[in-house]
This record gives sequence, structure tokens and C-alpha cells, in this order.
Amino acid sequence: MTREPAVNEVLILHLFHANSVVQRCGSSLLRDAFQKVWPDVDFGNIAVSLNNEKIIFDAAEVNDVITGWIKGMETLKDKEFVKFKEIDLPSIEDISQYRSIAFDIDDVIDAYHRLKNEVDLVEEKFGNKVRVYRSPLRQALNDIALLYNDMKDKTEGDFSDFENVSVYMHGIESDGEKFFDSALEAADEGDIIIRENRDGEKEHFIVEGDEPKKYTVKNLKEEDEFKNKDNRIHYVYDSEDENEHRQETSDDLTEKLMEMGLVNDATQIDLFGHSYGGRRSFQFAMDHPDHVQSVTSIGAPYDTNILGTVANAISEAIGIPFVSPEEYSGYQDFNTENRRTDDGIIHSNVYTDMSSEKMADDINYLKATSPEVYQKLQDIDIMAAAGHAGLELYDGLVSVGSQHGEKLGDLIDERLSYQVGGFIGHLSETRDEEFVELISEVNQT
Amino acid sequence: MRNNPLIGVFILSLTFLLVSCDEHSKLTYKEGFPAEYSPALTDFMGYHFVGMNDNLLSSSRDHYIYAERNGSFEDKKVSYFQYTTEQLKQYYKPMFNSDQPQETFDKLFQKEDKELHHTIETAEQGHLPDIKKETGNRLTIETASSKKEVSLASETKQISKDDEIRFNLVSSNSEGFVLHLQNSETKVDYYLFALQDLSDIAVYEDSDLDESGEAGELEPFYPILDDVGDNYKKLKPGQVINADTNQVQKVAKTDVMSEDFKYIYVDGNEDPLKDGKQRILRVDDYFTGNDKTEAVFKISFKKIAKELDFRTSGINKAKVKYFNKDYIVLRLSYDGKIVGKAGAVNVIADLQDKENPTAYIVDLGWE
Repeated sequence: MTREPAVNEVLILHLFHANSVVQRCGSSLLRDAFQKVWPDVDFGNIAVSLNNEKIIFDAAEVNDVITGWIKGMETLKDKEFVKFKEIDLPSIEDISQYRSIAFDIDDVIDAYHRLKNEVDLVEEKFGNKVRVYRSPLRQALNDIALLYNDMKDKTEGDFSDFENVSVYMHGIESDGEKFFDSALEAADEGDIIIRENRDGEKEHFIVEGDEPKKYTVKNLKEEDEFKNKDNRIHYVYDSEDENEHRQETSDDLTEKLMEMGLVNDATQIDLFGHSYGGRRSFQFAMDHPDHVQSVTSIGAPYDTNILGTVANAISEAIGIPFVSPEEYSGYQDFNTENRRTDDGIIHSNVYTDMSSEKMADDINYLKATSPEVYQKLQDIDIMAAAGHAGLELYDGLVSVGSQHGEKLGDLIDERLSYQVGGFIGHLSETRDEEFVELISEVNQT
Repeated sequence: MRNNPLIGVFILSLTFLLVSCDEHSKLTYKEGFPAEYSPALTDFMGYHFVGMNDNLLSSSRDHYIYAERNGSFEDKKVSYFQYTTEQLKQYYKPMFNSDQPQETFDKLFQKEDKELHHTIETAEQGHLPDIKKETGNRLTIETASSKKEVSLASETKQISKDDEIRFNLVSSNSEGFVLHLQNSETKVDYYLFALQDLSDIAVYEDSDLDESGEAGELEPFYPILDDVGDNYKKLKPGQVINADTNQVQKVAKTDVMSEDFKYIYVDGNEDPLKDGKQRILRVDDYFTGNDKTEAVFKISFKKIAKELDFRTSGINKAKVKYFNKDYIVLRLSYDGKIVGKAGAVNVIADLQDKENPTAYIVDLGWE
């Protein structure tokens, strides 16, 4: 410490306040900003550890505190000036001392002004992080979609006014056929099932007894089950590309639901996902928390997964039986580790995602950058079911801990376990009797 | 089908073995949709493109007559249409030699059905009743020989004047007709039986039909009901009535009744179907407990997967999607070796030619 004692006496208090502000805020970005500037204050260190679950950052409030410090310093300078002026014949030492105090105060005030600028930059970074999180291009496209479709008001489509919608999302190397059978079994008489195939063609059914009765859209609209709008819609969805990244699925699904008139304030969506479909469902919930009522998954690899790691490490030249890690879907994640190159094209897919990112990483990121979205996620009913073979360790492909999303903490409201049959239990989870019963229960709430 | 380029015609032996009561025939496998017309194929096409929605009243080798489905309680009358067998054949002709059978199958289903919906007036067909629904759930019925107003609320205490009742004609011949009624809100079903001269009309709630049938109350209406066996009459989906004993018989939940109510596919409702021997019985034999089979054939899901080059850990779905005399359409879906799905396919088992039965392997996308 090289400042004048009179200045240090004030800086003791400022240092204490600075550490308190940084700790209360809980943001590492803010801490970095203070640590960057504080050497210029030249008194002590910003040395708090950050263990907060929540980030509370109010740039204006922080800058108000710093403004208070600046005013304190200005008051001190005035006071020292008055004292200096009271000396009748100041000695060279008096002059030097006053000049030293004044220079210290000026330096500290300069540092505090720079600190305020850094706080403003942190605020700007918070806003940018939200956009980057969703990728700039996709955010821009979503904004355009919002503009054209006016999502704040009801979006008109064939199925507008249906308030209860269940969306079923399959996993990797698969499609929605099993979920179609499970949805049918879980559905109530009179419910409507929409089966969207990978080629984009839709089939429409009304549940009659144990069988789905198929209709053209025109004929469907003539049925009371459609006219009444009371029944639930079960939307069994095939991703456009089998192994596409969850963000791609979320964006495509958004578009399709909007076309059907199912993204509006009245409609509440219950999401069901198997395997990577659990991640896809979670992604949709993160992107549209206002429209999602629940997320229910089984067999979901919320942690990184050995299959993803191994498959992603294999190049197209070598090939790997039974999986297609090279499958391209036109999406590139902003996380460079969540990418691979095939045929000279950089892209992201299920395998890059499962090998590089735990869902907990994304959630922590979301917590830091969009606390209000995180709060909305906490309000969604999220159930993570795990299939297992008997010892409750794993289902042949995914550990029970990963399926339960243990690293997601209290974001998961309920964790369930089901013993599933088959050599690789993972393959039979969608059709497991208890899971189908769970689907039915969720749809009743 | 996934992971399986078109590889042309191939022959599989020993996968299907057709056994009738006194002869054995090997089933031939062919990849692709059937290449030519046949009566059973035509019936199947009519069922899929029309019959799944509208109500088939009669069919012959020349034409089909339907009552149009009334899907809403707001529908006020029964309408009729027909098409000829030739018109139906022309309609599904694109299925032959289509490179994209799944897409063609779906497009024909989704297509506007002007080609097959030729309206007929009741006067053109003597036994088709003219039925209109008026306010208060009153039906005005006019046949060739009589006219009557029927108050559903009076006929049965379970229906009130304000109930939202939709009504569909499900059966009609020169003796009389049967209406299926349903409360749109509660989904409770009713059946109205009526003779052509309207001298006898009765309404039963679905849950009371068995008891009423066994009490002999349906005897006056037996001439209306289709014969489906030596002693059995078609009653309602999955049920027949023995005209001699008045006993109502239901198909076991594990079994499937054919569309014409005449045959039973034993264990056909299991999903997945059991590998190996498949048995089809006539309805008379089934309900009398005879083990006499109309047809027996063997299925090997493993061999089908091998021939289609599905790298699979096993079948996860094997379901009967359509079953009528001599014609069965299955859906088979296979799990991936370690993850996901290996592939899926429909199988059309054509048993019309007992000497040369054939199984067509083609993915119609029919799940």
C-alpha cells in the first residue's frame, strides 16, 4: 500500500464494500471486472470466492455504490484542501503532502470511473451471452419468426384452441414409431394423434377404443372430437434428420407447432422424450419455458455418454457399425468442442453433443446469463425416469445417474426408476408398461 | 424400409409355410407391392382408402355401397355413395410399380375422394333408408314401404332430447337396417335395429346388447344381420351372435376377427406376434372350440430381417394391421443392434392362391 494514510482510511471501507458487492452478486464476470481495475486503486485485493446458486446482478445498483465512493473521495479532497488552506505559511512538506493526497484521490477516482465502465461492459456481456447462447443467427431467425407470426397473440393454425398438447420425442438412430404405440396406449378415447413422419408428411388419428382411426385433415375437421377442442393432441414427432442436434430439433419443432397453431398463451405443452429425445425435450423447454408445462424423460443421457464419445471419435472413413455419427443436419453449435468435420463441413449432431456437453453445463450457463429463464424452468414439472436392468445401475447404454439428471440438482422434480426387460433395456424403455402409465398420468394433470 | 436398397425380386424358402387342412405349400417372398389386381387386394385397398372412415354396407364383385360417416352430432342425415370395382382399381393403380410405395399409399389416402364418392339417392337402391335427424333427437325414417318418426328419447331412457347424438348407418339390406348411435360427449354407444317396414324398431345401449341378445330380443332382427358362419350372425365389432342359441360370443382379447367377421386369427392381437406357426380358424370352429384350422403359416422374423439386411437385436413390434379372408397385412419393426431402430416393413400375406401363396414385403409406412 502506497497511498497516503488519510486516503487508506477511506479505502479500508471501500475494499470491504467491494468484496461484499462481488460476493453478493455471485458473478465471475463482475469479479473479473473488479480484479482488473482494483490494482489501480492500489489498496488490498478483491479476493472473495463465489458459491452462490443464483446470480443477482444489477449494474445500476453496483454503479451507485461506486458513485458513492467517488463522492466520498471528492469530499475527502475538499476536506484536505480546506485543511491545507488553513495553514498560514505551508512548508514544502505541507505542500507535498497535500499534493500527494490530492493525486492519490484523483487516481482512485479515475480508477472508480474505469470500474464503472467495466461494470457497464459486464452488463453488456450478460445480454450478449443470452444471444450467443442461442446462436446469433438462430436468435435473429427466431426474432423474424416472432415478428411474422406475432407469438404474443394466438397463432392461428389448424389446431388453434386446443389447449392440451403432448409432444413425443424419440432418441438417436430412431423415429417415433414406438412412441406412437405408447401415446396410443396412454391416450383417452377421443384424443387426437398427429404422427409427423421424417419426410414431413402428417397422419391424423382419433383414438377409438384400442385402435387409432385414421382421417384425412378434411374428414378430421368434421368430427366432434376436433370441433369440441376438448381433447388432447398427441404429437408424435420424427426429427427431420435422425441424429440432429437438440437445438436443431427445438427450432424445427417450434416452427411446426406454430404452423399448427399450438404455440400460444392458452396451449400448454407436455414433453416426453426417450434417450437423446430427453435432451431435445429439455432444449425446447429452455427455449420456450412459457409454453411448457412438463418434461418427462426416460433413458435420457443428461451427462456425457461413452457411446457419444466413441462414435464421435470415429471418422467417416473408418465407419462404425450400427450408428451414424457422420450424419449431417446443417447445425453448428457455438461451442467449438460440440462440433465435428465430415466431408470438409463443420457441424454438430447428437454424438458431438453427447460427447462434449453435459446438460448441467448448459443449465449453469443459462443460470448465469438468463436467471429469469432459469426460474421459469424451475417452475416446469420435470420428471426424469431411469430404466435399469435390475441392479439399478444402468439400462445397457446409459447410467441411472445420468438418466436421473443427478447433476441437474433440484431442477428435476421427480426421479423414478423402472426395471426394463431385454438384453439392452434401453431399447424397450419407450414401451415399458410403467412408463406408459406415467405418460397417462402426466397427461391427466 | 431402412438400410435396404431395392434389390429386386428374391425368393425365400422355409420362412413361410402354408398349411391347409390337408396340404402343404411353401410361401414365396417377393419384395415390393403386389404386381397385379386380385379380389382380396381390391377389398384391402377399398378398406384402407374408404372403409376405414365410411361404412361399407354391401360389396360384390361389381361395386361397393357405403353410408357416409357422420362424425358430428350436427350431421342431419345419412348420405350414400358407391363406386364400381373398376373405379377402385383405377384409383389404386398408381400403387403398382410405384418407386415410393409409402408415399403413394399415403397420397391415395389423403387425396380428395371424388373419384370414389359417387352419390346415390335412396330411391336408386330399394333397401337404403332415408334417415334424417331433427331437433330433440328425433329421427324421421322413410323406407320403400313405410315412414315413421322415432324419438330416441322415447325409445330409450338413456338418451335425452338434448344429448349430442351422432348417428351412422352400419348395416342395411332388404330386411332392415342397423344404426350406430353415439353420445359425442360421453362416448356411450347405442344400436337401433329396424325392419324395412318399420313395424319393429328397438334401441339398445351397447352395454345392454349382450343381455338383450341372449334374452332373444334380437331374434326379429336376425334377418338384418349378416351371416358369418353356419350359425353365426355379425353383431358388432368383435362380436357375433349364435342364431340358434342366442348366445353372444366375443373374440378373445388376444385374437383378431377378420373384417368380414368370418375368420379368427388366433393370437393375432399379441404385439409382437409370436414367431412361428400362425393359425386362422373359421368363426364356427373358433367358438365351438374345434381345433380345425382354415389356414396355418409360419413366420420367421429373424429370416425376414436377414433378407432385408437389418442389423438388429430383435423384433420389437409385429402387429396385424388388416385381416380379411386370405389377406393379412402385418407391421414389423426391428430394434437396432445397440441403439435406435434397424428398420420396419409391412408384410402382405396373400393366401388367395393356395397352391402359390405369396408374402409381399413392402414398407407402406403403415404403423
